[in-house]
Amino acid sequence: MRQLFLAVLLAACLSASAQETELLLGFDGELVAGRWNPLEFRSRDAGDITLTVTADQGDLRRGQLPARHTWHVPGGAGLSVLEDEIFLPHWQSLSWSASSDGRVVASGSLHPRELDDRPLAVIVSAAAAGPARLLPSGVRVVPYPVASLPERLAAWDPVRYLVLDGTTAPPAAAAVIAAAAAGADVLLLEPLPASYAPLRALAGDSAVSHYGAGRLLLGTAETAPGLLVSTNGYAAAVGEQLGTLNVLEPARPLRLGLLLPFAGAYALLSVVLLRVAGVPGAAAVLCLGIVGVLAAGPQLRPGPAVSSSRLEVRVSAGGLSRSVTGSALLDRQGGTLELPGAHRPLKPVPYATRPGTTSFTPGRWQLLETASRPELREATGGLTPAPDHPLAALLPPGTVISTGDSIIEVTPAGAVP
Amino acid sequence: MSGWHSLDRHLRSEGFSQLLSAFLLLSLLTLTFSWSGNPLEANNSWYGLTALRRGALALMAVGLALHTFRAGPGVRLRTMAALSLISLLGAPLSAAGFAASYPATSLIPNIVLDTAFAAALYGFTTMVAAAAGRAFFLAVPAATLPIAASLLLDEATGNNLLFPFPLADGPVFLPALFWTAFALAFAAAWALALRRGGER
Repeated sequence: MRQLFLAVLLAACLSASAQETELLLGFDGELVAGRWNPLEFRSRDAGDITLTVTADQGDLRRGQLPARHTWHVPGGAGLSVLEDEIFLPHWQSLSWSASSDGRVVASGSLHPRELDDRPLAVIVSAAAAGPARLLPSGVRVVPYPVASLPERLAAWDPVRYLVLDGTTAPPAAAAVIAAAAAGADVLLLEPLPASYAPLRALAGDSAVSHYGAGRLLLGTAETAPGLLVSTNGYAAAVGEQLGTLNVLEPARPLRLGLLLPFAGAYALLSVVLLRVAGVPGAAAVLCLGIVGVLAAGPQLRPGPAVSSSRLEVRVSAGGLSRSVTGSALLDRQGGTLELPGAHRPLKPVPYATRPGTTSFTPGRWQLLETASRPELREATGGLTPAPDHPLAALLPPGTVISTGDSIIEVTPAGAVP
Repeated sequence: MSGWHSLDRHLRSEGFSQLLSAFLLLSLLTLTFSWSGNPLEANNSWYGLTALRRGALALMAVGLALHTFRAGPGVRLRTMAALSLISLLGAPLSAAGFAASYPATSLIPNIVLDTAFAAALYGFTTMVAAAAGRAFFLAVPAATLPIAASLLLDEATGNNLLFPFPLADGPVFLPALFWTAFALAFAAAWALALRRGGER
């Protein structure tokens, strides 16, 4: 009897571990609303899992505006890990569920009280309290293990500062570069051990090195506060202007002042010809009407059902670019619009994402403005300098702006593209 | 007098000219009020024109049916043809609205539906009025029966197969086919009666 009880207990324990699933959002659970946040989902010894994260940004006036994100995690023996980024709006409710074979195996939710749009300061240190004192106010300090630092640019979107004081093993250079290129100020706090030499080499001899939209800062406990005072806000400033810069200008349809005289003349001719010539007159005026509509077709319908405008904005420095592509779409028929890649709407609308695709369902003639997930690219250069670009007035003096075919490249002041 | 000449004379009549003028004027007014020249604003002229065309043609069909139900099959055929011609003459204006409104539907089936629906309703109302005799006025409410029946059937099946007012976007092939068959049935019956020596 005792053996049977132990066997049942062991089976129960094994079954509990078999159902182990975990969703980690943000940096150590710290999320920044209005930014792309890292997401990590782990499951162990589970079947195929469908992970769904739903953020509702609606209100009483507009009703529900859900943003539904879905991933399929292949199952199998051992640990399955999914890493991605998710854009979290200012949500009313945020919930997630993991289901396998139509059965929910795990779920959870976040209360709107946890909503916070203050950026993060990630500290990689054996004693995070020391470096935390150097940071300006207005950020949330998150001590973070070096092994978990993401190497994807978009995952660093919510981070304003990354501080490395050399008291841990050195992080991967790719993670540091990704953080800097995303727009964070990465502070290498000297003195650093010899194992940090490759990272220190990235900074060179200069206290400030620009990479993408961010900076690599080299300082001591005494000089660091001075370096961190001037906030490097290129990524945010450019992102806020994306909707303004990417203007959709669809072709104008035929003006009523031009249409009405022709339509009126057709109506008059119909009545007169029919009265005068009977059936042949009716046939003649009908043919005339058809020819008129066909001839005016390009003016009546000046473009395809979906008009779109695309603009890529890059913040480039040190040979790297933080690239965000804005799209403005006008679907005159309504329905489902699928965009390749991960996108977010600039104004709250319902949408859904799957890996590689984002789908929106705008109504007829509803302008949809989106921004893609930030990506790391190599700075290509070769664009035409545009010192009088409207964006120049919004950015610090010395910023270099170049433009090309649907591309705007911003080089921060003092940086080399 | 041949059928052709009779139709020709019918189309040149004062009453028909007035009907056509009123119909085209209403279409022009609808086009004027629902047209948008702003490329970022919805142009809904097609929806307004479609509603107007089906509604106005249905009213004309019922009115003409009450006017001609005592006449022979020749007159009924000519009236049906004239009604169809009114619908066709308004089609270019409808096509202009269609081009500018970008509806998710097809133009030609919609024009066929407009025309066939009016012709079928004319045939049905004429038949009911003729059958009702002195209570012919009952044909007016009875004209709503095929429309209501098509709506009920569509509701029951959950599809848009018969109802002639699918103003939302979507295909109208099946309603167009159904109402064309309905209209042609009346036209065939009258043509047969005419051939058998009925009055013109």
